Formats: sequence, C-alpha cells, structure tokens
Amino acid sequence: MRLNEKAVIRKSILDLCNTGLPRQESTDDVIRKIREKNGSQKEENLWEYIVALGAQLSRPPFDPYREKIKLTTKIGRKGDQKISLKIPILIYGEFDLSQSSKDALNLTLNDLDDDRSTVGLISKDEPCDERKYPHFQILDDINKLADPDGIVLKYTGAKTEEKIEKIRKEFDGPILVEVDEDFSQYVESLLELGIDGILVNTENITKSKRYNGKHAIAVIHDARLAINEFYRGKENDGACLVVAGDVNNAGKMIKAAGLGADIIGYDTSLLIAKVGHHSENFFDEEITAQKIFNHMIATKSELTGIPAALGYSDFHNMSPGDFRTSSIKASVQGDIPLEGVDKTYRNIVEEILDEYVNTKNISVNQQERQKIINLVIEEEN
Amino acid sequence: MPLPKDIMNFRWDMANVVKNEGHVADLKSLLLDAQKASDGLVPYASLGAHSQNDYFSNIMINNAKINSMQDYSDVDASLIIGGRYSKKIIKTDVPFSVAGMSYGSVKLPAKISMHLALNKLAKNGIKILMNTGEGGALPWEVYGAKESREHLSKTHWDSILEFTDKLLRANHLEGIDIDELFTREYPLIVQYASGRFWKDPAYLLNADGIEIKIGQGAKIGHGGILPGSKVTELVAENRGILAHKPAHSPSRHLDILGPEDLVAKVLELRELTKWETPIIVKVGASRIYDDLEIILKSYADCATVDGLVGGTGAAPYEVREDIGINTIASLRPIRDAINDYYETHDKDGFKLLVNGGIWDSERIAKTIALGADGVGIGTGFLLAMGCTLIQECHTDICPAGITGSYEKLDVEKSAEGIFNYIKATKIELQNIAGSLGREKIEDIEMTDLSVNDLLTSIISELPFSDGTNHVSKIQTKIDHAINALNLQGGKI
Repeated sequence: MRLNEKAVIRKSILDLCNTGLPRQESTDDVIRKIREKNGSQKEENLWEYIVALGAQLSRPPFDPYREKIKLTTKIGRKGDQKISLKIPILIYGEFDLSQSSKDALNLTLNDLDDDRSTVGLISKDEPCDERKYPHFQILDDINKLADPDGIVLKYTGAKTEEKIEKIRKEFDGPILVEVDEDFSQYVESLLELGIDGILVNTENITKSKRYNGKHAIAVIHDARLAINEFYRGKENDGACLVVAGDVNNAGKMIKAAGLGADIIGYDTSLLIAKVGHHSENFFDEEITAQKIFNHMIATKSELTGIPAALGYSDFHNMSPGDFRTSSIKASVQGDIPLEGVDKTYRNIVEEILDEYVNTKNISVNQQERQKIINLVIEEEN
Repeated sequence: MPLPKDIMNFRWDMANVVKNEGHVADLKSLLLDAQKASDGLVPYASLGAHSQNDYFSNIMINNAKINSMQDYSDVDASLIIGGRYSKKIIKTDVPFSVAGMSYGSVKLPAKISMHLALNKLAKNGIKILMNTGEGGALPWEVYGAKESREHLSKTHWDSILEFTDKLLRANHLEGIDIDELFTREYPLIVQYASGRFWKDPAYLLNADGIEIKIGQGAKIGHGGILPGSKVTELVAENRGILAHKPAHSPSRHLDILGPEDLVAKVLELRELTKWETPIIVKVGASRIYDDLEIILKSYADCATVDGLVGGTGAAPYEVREDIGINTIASLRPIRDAINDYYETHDKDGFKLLVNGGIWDSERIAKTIALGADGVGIGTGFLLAMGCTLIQECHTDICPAGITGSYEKLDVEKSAEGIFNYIKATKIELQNIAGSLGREKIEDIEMTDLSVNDLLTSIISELPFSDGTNHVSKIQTKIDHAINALNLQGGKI
C-alpha cells in the first residue's frame, strides 16, 4: 500500500466493521477521487518502481544464513594488477570530512579488512601508510601522485587521454576515469587506452542537459551499454563500471548491479563519519568507527540476502532479466521489462507498430521506424 | 521494540548534514541507516510493501454497486477447494479466507478473536476458511472437531488442556468457556512450511486442507523469521522450538528443490492423508508463469499466489520492498499458465487463490474477474481488530495489542469487528454480482472491468471504459508520430 493511502484504507474497513453494512464507496473509489483531485503522482524516484524476481519452484533460492554468497570483485584488466574487494563497494562521495572523521573512517576500513569485508576508498587525500584496504587517489595533478593502489581521474576532455598515457608509464595499478554526461562518445577510446573502468556519478550526470529529467537508471543503462559496445566482438577482460550518486541503500545497489554496475561508489559511510563529528556530543573516534563498521556489516548482509533470494550464489550474476518494473518511464529509461508482460514498453510499441504498418500498408524504412518508436515512447517518458 | 532515542537523534543529525549539503533527505532511508549503524543488523519490516503502483484503483467494475436497495442475498458466493485429486472438498460460503497469520506473529487474544468470530459466523450460516500460517496451530484449532478428540488417550487430552490453561492464564483469558473454545465450526488449512513448526502429527491429520508454503509475497526466496523477542515460552512450546531465540524458516524446503521434489512432497502428504485432504501449494508472485506451470503438474488441488503487497509479521526491509511483482500484474501470466495447461488437459477442478493488497469487496471482485477463484485477506482482518497500520508487527510496540506489546486486545470487540467485516463484505460482493445481473460471484468476468490508464491496460489486458485498449491507444500515438514526421507520403 502507498503510505499516503493508509488512512483511507483503514477508515474504509472500519466502516464495515463498525456497522456490518455495505458502504457507499469502496476503498478504490475513494483513492481514485483523491488521485483525481491531487493530479497524477509524478514518478520521480524510479527505484521504487523496480522489483526483482525471487526464486522459488522454477529455481531454488540460496540460503544466506547457511550458504556462502560471493560478493568479491576485482578491479583491473591485467591479471597481476587486480585489486580485490570483498564487498563490491568503493567509499566515495563529496562530503568534506574533518581529520578526526577521516581517522575514524581509516580505522573502520582496516577493521573491515580484518573482518574479511574489505571495501575500498576513493579520496583526494594521500593514502595512509598503515592502511590494509585499497585506496584510489583522485588525481587532479599527475605530479602529486602518492603511493595509491589505484587512481581516479576526472574526465576533462582530450587532455585526459594524454594524462592516462603519462600515468601509465609510471603506474601499473588500476585507473578509473570519472566520466561526464557525454561518456557514450568517448568511453571506447578511453578503454582502448587501457583504463580499467569508468565511474559514473548519477547525481551529477542527471543534472546535466543531456540527462535532463532522466533518472539514475538511464545513466547506468547507457554506461553499461557503452562498455558492452567496446567489447562487441572482443574478449571481455573486465573493465568495470563503478556507479556512484543515487545508489545509497542496499535496494538501489542491488538494482544498479542488476542494470550493469560492477561496483558501487557509496557515500553513506562518509555521511556517518561526518555526523559522528557533527554531533553535539564530544567526537569519539572509536564510536564513530564502530557505527561505520556496523552499518557496512549490515549492508553486506543485505547485499548477500537479496541475490540469495533471487537464486544466485554470486552478487555479480544478477542481470537485467532478473528485474521488472511497474512504470513505463522506468521501462523506457532502463530498458526494463514491465511486470506481468515480461516485455519492455519499447518492445510493445515495436510490435504494435509492425502490425500497424503491415495492416495499413505503410512503408517505413529502419530509420523512420526508429524515429516513430522514439516519438511514441518519449511521450510516456 | 521502540527505537532508542539515540537512533532517532542520529537520523536527524544525518538529515541535517544532507540538507546542509544541498540534498533532499529521505527520512525513511536515513532511519534504516541509523538502525544499521547502531546494531549492525539488517533492518526488518512488517505487513506489505509500499508498492507505488498496485493497479487496483486504476480498475473499475462497470455499472456495479456495492450498496443496493435491491436484495441480492440469493447470489451464490460459495467457494469449493479440493476434489481435483483429494477425496474431500472444502466448501465455504464466501470466496475469501483468513490468510495465514500464525500464533507468535500475532498474539493469542487476536487468534482467539478470529476463532470466536469465525465460529459465530458459521452459526449464522457463513463458513469462512482460516489458514493457520506457518507457526503451527493452537490446540483448539487442531482438536476443535469432536471426532478428532475421540481417539485421544486421557493423558494426551489432559496435557492439551493443561497447555491450553497455561495459554489462557498468561493472557488473562481464563473466563473463556473451554467447551466453546474447543469447537471449530469453520474449515482450517494448515501450512506445511520450510520451518516445520509443529510437534503433533494431528496438525496435518486433523486439518481440512494442507498448504505447502514455498514462498510468500513479502519475502520471496527468503524463508521466514519470527524475531526472538516474540518467541515467548508459550510460543516456543507451541512450535516445539527454543524460547527467546529467533525462529528462522529456511529460504527453501530442504527436500523441495525443484518440480520433481514438489510432486514427491504432494504425493507423500496424499499418502499420509489417504488422498482425502485437499492440498494447496503457495508461492509468492515472481516468476509466476513457470512456478504455476510446475504447481499445475504437481498433483495439487489448488495454488495460492501472494502478490508483492502481501503482508508479513517480519521480513528484511529491502526484501519486502524489492522482490516480487504486484498482484494484478501476476494475474495475466497466471491466466496464461492455466490456459496453456488446459489446452492439453481436461478441466479437473484446479483452483486458484490470490492474496496481496486485497481487503474489500471490490478488490475481491476484481481479482476473481481476472481469474482467481478466491482470495486471502490478512491486513483487512488486522484492521478489523484495531490495527493502526504503523507496520511495526515485527517489534513489541503494536498499539492495538494485536501483534506484540503489553496493550490488551478486547477479544469480544475484535470478534465483533471481524464478524461485521465478513458479513458486510459478503453483502457487498453479492450486491456487485447481483447488480451486474450475475447469479454467482464467480461469474464476474473481465468484460465487467475497465481501466483508466495505459499501463494498467497493458498489464491486465483490460479495455478503457470507452472500449479502446492499450493497442488502439498506442496506434493513435503511432498515427500522431507518423503525421508529425510527415511520413504519409510513404503509404503504398
């Protein structure tokens, strides 16, 4: 039930219970009237319209309490330079942390590694000497290269390619490039240069003109498509897609993974670190570290529980085929099948168009066909 | 258990930081984060998912009235389950049942309220089916029929009475008449779930029907859990498990991993019950065409399908919200699976029950028109007992005293609420069918329904009220696109 419709449902049922007599209006009559009065609800958070298909008889589920569900992922295209994460998370975000918050975070990340729950960190800071976790340094100036395990470069046009070539001469570890909204035009050439993956920040990209009005799922879908396009006809050597931004809970992380993300750029750990400092109470590094640790361990359990319920023993085995949507907009933006019909809205329009042009004897070429389909689906997007 | 103040404060601190950074704070999500940061555990939730689009209210029953001056009390509202393979059948007077809510997930007074209300309804000519849920049955449910007690030894019967006395005393319900309590006049379906929470074979042998629970809408593929705080000494004794420890049911039956295992399990229960008792298989709505195809071939009499909004006493929050499809969306693949099966088989009385987000007559009628034979209702019965929908059934703070807390539930008032709810819902259903000119509820058809939006038409295959459907709507859009692109010249 929708949260804002609870009162209607309760009142409607209580009318029956109190009188034992038929009502004047059904629950749906009342809900419909309210919706008509308030106008149709805007589908803003498309994550809420996407669901996964659970395993039952046609495929048995795994048991996350008794069986091992694999979350491990590797970053790096060359065999000897791969970085391994036990949870597919790189902590990354735009929260500005104080030194004490950073210390708490460092403490947690080391504890997580001890717990066999290694996650990585993406940060502008120089890596700590006593770290046990992989640190990806955001490198604005290649002369400031410290001793990171990996590097993140922000895409700044053609100069980025020069930078990559220079860095490659002195750095063997994984290089990720944080791309902008025009990524589909240059991802292939970046991958040709040997970068190990791209990072898309959905929050920044959906604010751009190209993605105006679109949701994070559209960005993830297009980014995965761009990587797949690069590998068309080639052997996949594991360039990864890191998705950051609007993926800050386990449900969204699972759906992002299903749509093609390999690793999540996760900022909630940074938020907890910052709030620890924000509190009116005296900042306690250990308590803050414990909170970040607890949060990550609970998230890890969620990330194993859902793939297990879908019938997978490996987080990375989820695919778009495991998801359905109850929104035409989500179907169009993420190329996700509609629930119950198992076809995307685009597929449905294509089928009806083909039937229509045949019946009406209209001749349309491939280009015109695509234009018609795009016009029709854009109307619902 | 109520959330500690420091969790709430931490949530607000996080919300302030998020706002200061210029973002919109999602308070529900931040509360879950604060819980996780506090205890390192997966947050739990209860009742049904907050589906943003359950389609029900986008569907109308054309020209039907739930309230009518005309008397439609002769409209047949009955439902029969069984007879496809079982020798016995279950016949009820309404096409809806009390969905599985076990002792433990709801407290004893709520279970007794439902028991008394259903007995009173039976005496008033309305037999309604009750499902025990997966946590086993209470003594008066197992031994409510007189003949079920005839073979019991005195020692056994005394031990049952002793446990009953303990249950009633612990809930300050000593005043209840034992003879009245040990009378069950309504049919009972017991669940055979992966946790196997029963200790007396009579649980299966004395039931009117057995439901093999593979999954449920709120936690498909996850199994079940009753939090340790709700596993009291008495709940533990009734289930045959340890007290104060969470009661986990595995995500799958250890002996049902696929279609062949399901057939073996159904046949095992058939042998146990001498082919007399109707057997049902319950799944959550997910890969529903495939799952139903398997159930149809499994020697079961009936399937129960539970949609995304189907409730639970406890489930991991993200599992409840993110796995499974909506009830209405599941009905099209279900119809396809049934139609495809009966293209090569003779009709044999297979029945379909559907649960999830159904709580009043109109929703029952819509679900039946779309292919169900009957429906299960859970949340509606909780509302009838005073549920406030705060969705904290997995904790001990239920303000109505239904699922867990020190609040006392008024058994008599709750039973009265349930009695009225069922009675009035039956009348409304008869009014709907009668005003459509139908003699039976089961005669309500898809042609009686229409929709008011494109997606619901696609999902349900229903037309709009003006007779158009999603195909013609999309064709009109194609026409406009062809005009806009000036492609008429391409006409051959």
